Amino acid sequence: MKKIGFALLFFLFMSQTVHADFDVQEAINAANPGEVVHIPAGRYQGNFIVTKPITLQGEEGTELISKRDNPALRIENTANVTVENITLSGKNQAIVASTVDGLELRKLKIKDVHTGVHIQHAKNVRIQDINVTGIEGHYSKKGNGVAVFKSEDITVEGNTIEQVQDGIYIEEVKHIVVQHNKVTSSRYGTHFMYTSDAEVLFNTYDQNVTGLMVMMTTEIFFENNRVTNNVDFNGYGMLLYDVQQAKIKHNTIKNNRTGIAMQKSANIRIETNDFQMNQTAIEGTKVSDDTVASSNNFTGNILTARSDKQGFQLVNNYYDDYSGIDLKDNGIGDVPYVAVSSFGQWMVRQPVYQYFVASPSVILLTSLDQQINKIEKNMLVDNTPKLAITHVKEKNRMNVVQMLVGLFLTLSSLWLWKRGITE
Amino acid sequence: MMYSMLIKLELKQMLRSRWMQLVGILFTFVFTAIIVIQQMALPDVEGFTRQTASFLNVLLFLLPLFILTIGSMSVAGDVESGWFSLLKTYPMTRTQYIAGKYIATVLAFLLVVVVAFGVILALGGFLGGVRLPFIFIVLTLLCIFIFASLAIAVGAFAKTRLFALSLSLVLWSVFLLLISYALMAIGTVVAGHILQKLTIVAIHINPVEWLRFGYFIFTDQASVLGPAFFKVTQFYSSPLGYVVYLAVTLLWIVCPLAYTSSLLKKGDRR
Repeated sequence: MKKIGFALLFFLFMSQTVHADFDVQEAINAANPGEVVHIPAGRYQGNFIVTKPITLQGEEGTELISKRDNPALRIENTANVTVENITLSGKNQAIVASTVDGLELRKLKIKDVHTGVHIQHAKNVRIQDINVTGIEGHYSKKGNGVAVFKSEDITVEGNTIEQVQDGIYIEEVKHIVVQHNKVTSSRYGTHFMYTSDAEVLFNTYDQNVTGLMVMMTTEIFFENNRVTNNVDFNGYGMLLYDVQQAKIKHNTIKNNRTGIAMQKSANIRIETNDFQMNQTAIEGTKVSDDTVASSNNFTGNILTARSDKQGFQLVNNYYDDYSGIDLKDNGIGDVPYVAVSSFGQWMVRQPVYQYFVASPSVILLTSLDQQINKIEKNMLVDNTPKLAITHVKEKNRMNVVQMLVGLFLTLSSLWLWKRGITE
Repeated sequence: MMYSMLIKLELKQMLRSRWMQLVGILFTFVFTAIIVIQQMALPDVEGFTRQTASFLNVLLFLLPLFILTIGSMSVAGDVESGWFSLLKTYPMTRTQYIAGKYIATVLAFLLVVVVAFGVILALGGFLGGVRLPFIFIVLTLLCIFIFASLAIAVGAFAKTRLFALSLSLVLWSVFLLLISYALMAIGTVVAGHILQKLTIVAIHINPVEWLRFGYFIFTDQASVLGPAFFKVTQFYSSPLGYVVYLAVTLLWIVCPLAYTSSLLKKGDRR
């Protein structure tokens, strides 16, 4: 009986692993340009190469497994290639595409790999609905989910990436749209280097070391992204280093160690974003005079803004810790909001001071600062603080058990107190 | 028999004291107001936020102040009024007196915080969306255990009620504010790595910082303290670190009580 069981299990395993009658590379070689190569369900091990304009189409259960350290699929020196509906796995890279004009990668599942998709010297690329899950271990031992180098006109859309080094890594790319992606549990959600003309829209970055890392990049636009829970050591919601002309609009930046940090950057516009419950909402060092944070909502942040001596502009934002009044009744506070605090400035100069963040001594110091700094006119001062925002608050429901436990505790301890006095 | 009578008597005196009753009302009111208002006004988020910072700071500001002043004045009052000399004529050891005082102070403050927590839970249950994190209950208990011990030592050292009050206030401000300000001031003239080492020393020699540090360790939010403290937080987040944390906490309780014993012994000889 046991033997029959093993035989059945072996048969089941084998039927899943190999499709006996199909050779993927032979089918690719035999296909004419523009044809669709349909790969039946099954596990195919090899290092497959595409060098002509074809479509590789899998079905439920189609899996390409790389042999040794080479990529499972290589696409090179060609145009108009589409790969869809396939699972890829392997030791090193799943897909490598180089010198391709017109590439679509759709509905792919990539697992247990060092790097998911690696693209270089490509044009007109669309990476859509792919799912990358990296290997376990430290970030330094992992590769990127999707990496694009020296390319033009790229769209990375609707992908789910987790447990990799950088979810989406972009280097030396001209015109790229990154939208509707979700990157979690990685080092950087999306990492831009030496890129120009980029749009980052409707993405979710959650529980990474840093949500968006942008370095040496020009003309970049962030809108409607959700950057949350990046609270690790050195964690940032967004870090902009040496960035020129960035617009950050209508994003939710919540519960990060630092919401947005700008270093050595110029012409940054931060508008209509929601900064909620960050340890520091915005930090700026060596940023140009034309950097402005306007019409944002700051709610529940421990420190609203901190900067070096250069500072940046705060205009018409809502601050939940603003204590001024509006006698003119125009929705704007009558006295300026001063975000500058001694502790915030120290923390920029000497990172060790972070230990004291929100400690009793710092809370008292900040309260005194708010009184003393009322005369501050230039640095981190909002002369037109907005007074009210419309909050859509979740309706809290009564918790009867908690209420009864509370009442019991209160009454019984008061009874004990009274008994202690009278007896 | 005599020992349990002493605890009962001490507890009764403490609970009868108008000061203690006012402290109970004040603590409950401030604690409840801040927690309920903050939790109702701000989005519910896991991690170290302004509301958890407020929660922690209210705890660290108020509880040590109340325990130090009331506890120390209770012991100093005994010495000043001759009550302690009278007690010595009864069949009771010095250790029993100190332990009795300590237990009575701890029980009295436990009652105060249970009233406050009860009100928070009841009001929070009624309004919805207000929780009382378990770590805050643990921290509150540790705070009471450590500062009740320190209060008794301060009282034994001061010997008069007025001196005990002023000494408690000085000690409270040193623990809460002055050590931190001194470190921050030193940080402006020394290198970062020296400030980091001094801060680590301060964590161990300041019970307020010790409790605050414990909050970050036990809630797995050590990253709030910054990368400069990565190694020390990593150590205290390990099983051995937990044991060391417990040992240091016990030292903070036992050492002041032992010091009290030696102070009262010296007094006996005189």
